[in-house]
Amino acid sequence: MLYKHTATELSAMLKAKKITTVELINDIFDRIEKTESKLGSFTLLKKESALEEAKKVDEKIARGEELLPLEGIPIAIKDNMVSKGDLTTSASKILSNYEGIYDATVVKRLKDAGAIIIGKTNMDEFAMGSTTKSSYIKESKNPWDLERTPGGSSGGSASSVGGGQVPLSLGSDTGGSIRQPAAFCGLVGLKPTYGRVSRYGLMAFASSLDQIGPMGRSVEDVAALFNVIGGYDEMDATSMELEMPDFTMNLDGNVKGLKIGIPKEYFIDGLNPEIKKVTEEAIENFRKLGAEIVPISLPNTEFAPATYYIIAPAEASSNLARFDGVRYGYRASSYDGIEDMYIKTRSEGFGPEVKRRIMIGTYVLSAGYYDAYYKKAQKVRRLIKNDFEKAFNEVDVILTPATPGTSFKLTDKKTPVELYLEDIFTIPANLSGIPGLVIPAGKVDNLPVGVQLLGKAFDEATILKAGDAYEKAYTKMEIPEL
Amino acid sequence: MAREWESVIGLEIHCQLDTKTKVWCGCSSDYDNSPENTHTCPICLGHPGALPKLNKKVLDYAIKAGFALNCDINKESKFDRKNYFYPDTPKNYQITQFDHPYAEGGHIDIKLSNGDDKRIGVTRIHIEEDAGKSIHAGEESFINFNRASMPLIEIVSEPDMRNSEEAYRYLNLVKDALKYTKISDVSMELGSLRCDANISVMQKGAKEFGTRVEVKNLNSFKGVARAIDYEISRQIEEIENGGEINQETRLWDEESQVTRVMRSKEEAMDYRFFPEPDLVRIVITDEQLERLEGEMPESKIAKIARFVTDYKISENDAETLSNSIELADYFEKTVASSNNSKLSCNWILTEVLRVLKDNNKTIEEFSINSEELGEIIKLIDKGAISSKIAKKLFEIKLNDERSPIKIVEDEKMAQVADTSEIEKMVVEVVANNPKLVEDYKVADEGRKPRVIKGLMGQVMKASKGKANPKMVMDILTEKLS
Ligand SMILES: [Zn+2]
Repeated sequence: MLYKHTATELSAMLKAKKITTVELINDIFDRIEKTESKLGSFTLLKKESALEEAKKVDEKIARGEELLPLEGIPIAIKDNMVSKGDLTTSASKILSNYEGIYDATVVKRLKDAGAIIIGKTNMDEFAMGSTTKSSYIKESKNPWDLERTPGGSSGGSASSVGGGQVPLSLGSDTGGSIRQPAAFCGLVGLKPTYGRVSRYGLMAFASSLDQIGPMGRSVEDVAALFNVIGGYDEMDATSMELEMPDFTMNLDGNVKGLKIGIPKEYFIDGLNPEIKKVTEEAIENFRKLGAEIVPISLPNTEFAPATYYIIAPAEASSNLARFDGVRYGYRASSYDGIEDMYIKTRSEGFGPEVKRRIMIGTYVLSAGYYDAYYKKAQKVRRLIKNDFEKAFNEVDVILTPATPGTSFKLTDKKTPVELYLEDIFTIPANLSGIPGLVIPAGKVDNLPVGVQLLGKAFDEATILKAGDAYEKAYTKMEIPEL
Repeated sequence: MAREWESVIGLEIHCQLDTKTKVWCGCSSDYDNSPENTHTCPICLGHPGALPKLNKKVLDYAIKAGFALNCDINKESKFDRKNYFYPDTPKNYQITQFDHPYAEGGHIDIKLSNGDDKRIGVTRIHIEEDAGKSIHAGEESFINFNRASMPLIEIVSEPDMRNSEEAYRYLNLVKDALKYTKISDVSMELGSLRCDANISVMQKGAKEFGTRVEVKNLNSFKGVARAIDYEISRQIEEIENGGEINQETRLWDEESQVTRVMRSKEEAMDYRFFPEPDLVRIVITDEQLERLEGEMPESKIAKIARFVTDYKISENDAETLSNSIELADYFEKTVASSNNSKLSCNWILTEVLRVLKDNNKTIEEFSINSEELGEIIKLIDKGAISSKIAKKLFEIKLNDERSPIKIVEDEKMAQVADTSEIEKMVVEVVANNPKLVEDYKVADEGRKPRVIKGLMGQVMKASKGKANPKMVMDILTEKLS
């Protein structure tokens, strides 16, 4: 039953020698064996190496040495983060045979911190999607209702934590890919400020939007994992040379006087009334905790999805060009010349969603359309960013719904555009580079609902503090029976 | 009626920068003798997740090139992606600078054959990465990525050149200017300097340029000139025969000395340029510019002018000495030691360069240092040794650790300037050559100098070349009168 504990609790138990790391890892894998066929969270499981690492931690404990905060804690990482010697596929056929030849910076930091990587999690192919249905490998399921999606693209990371298979996981968020699945699975998910966590070793979807972040069952856990993976990395030119405070330090439950902005543009027609109700309750609860609620306006919000669906595919079309069958990965078995090899390899290797976005991206960057689409989108992006900068002159945090609705059925037929609108509340944070935290706020029809707290750039501390205060007062961490 | 034609030429020169590591990763750039694909890493192989990071030295070197070509350096610039699929391009895009290059608005002054100067504009210089190398063997193709992500600068000229000679001179001066800054070995043979030419023709006096043809694959200085000449006549012929020039890319075929179509305008690529999101903007600080300006050597042109004025040597000689910055330094140090610039210049241009050429060595590898050569020249200048002896001394010194003065002493090479000793030798020669003496006495004024030279030669021979020639002549004249 160790799997029911948070990472922070487990760490304390290891330090107090109430459990051994090997016991913990065995318990985690027992849970995975019982639930994986239902959840489909993982693309790769590393029980053997995890147990080896666990033994080393136990030896350290036996020697009486001090453990690092996440030392011995099992962690799952999304399958678009490269780890040396492990299959790293981005859930794509084109990388179905690709073994990492180096460690992503986040992987290296986890290993250095003594955390135990237990496996790679399922995702939408190259992080494009909001259901995990675009994965070449499998579909992941929502632990609260196995007929429903855990969300995407970090769906496997969400179902593994939500289903109690692992206390913490890493996801990546380009337009909401950490926050939407966190909301669907009743988890805490943080998209840090752009430049806060190194992207070195993260298979790029849209370089100017992608950010790796932690997913967990408590704000404190998420903060602890963020502590380990964040901070300047010289391998990533866009990484910021700023100090990383200890984000677990000021989680004191106090939000008195905190100014929380409520943007009217986020309460749109498409918002499910039940979700609206939960969000309004959350606002009321924050007021009860002593926060000051301030109505604000983010006037360019409505343009965010259109802007995003130009910029993200544009960058993706270029980022995914390297998958050509020349140096690594899948290559078509027969072809006639190099041109044919490219076409067959990429036609066979990519799924429909990825192809759709590569085509959109190629189109918006092409001569004659660049100014009308890409350049214009960059201008609108600036306006959206300005909206936030202005708003944060008045408030400390902005509270919004996380998703327009609750998790939907995997069999639901939704058009690509309907699916794109799933990210409507999360996309603005990626376009502006600001941090966003999703916390559980309630349930509708036994399905979790999350709210989103947006913060100033590099001020993750404030949203984590607010999220933690809310969690301590109102949210009880749960793991559904499976 | 024959029409008169004018051609318009612009050059794009790629120069590989001589940094220790590649532009985005830590791979060593010294791969010339390494096996294929050994100087590679996840970054330069374009592995998933790998990100570029700008090598700061690349920017330093590129800025120096900007100074050398009289460009304005933009304090802020950015990188862009140029998207195209090619097997030796690992990411299938090239990181380059599209609309905001780091350097713009430069120039180089070339000398025309009539002696006039002409200014050729340098539109821009930008930083970009090199690709790997494809190797085709029958049905199979292989790629060597050792060169992938090597730093390049591309120098784009204004279409200011009118014939192959101007292009040739411009290219040479650009090469010299870059070589002086020591940022590259600028060798077309080694591929560290590559050139493409944009060529069009128009009727003389026409306002609009003709359709431009880009010629690639020019890998020698002569090839550049020949390809331009060929392309100009081809285009004129085409138009005069009623045809039209197509906007296309052509390749220079060195073997058959013609250009061939590589790609037409219809097949032109859409590179889908957009700002490189994995790199931040390039910001160049005043401190950086100041530091690099301080590191800039005197330009070749300035050096030649100074040598002519300060050392009173010919422009031609000054230019030869300045062909390498090291040779020019050697010359200046020799003069400092010898105090005789003309003699130093002559000795370096004849003796030193001959030895270097025969042994295929550079001045840095030369066994006689500038101080020692200066010492030899000083000995000649003082009359301590004759120039003939000096040449002998020079030959000995090539493989001898002793100082020139020590060699002269040890080998008793000093000139004999002792009157009684010379007189003794003169008396002996006069006695042994009665016929010549007689001949001298009866000779008319016109023949006298020739006869006396013969006698003098005998005396010099007797002294093994060590007698002071002026003293020999004086004593001989006196004895014969
Ligand atoms: Zn490399």
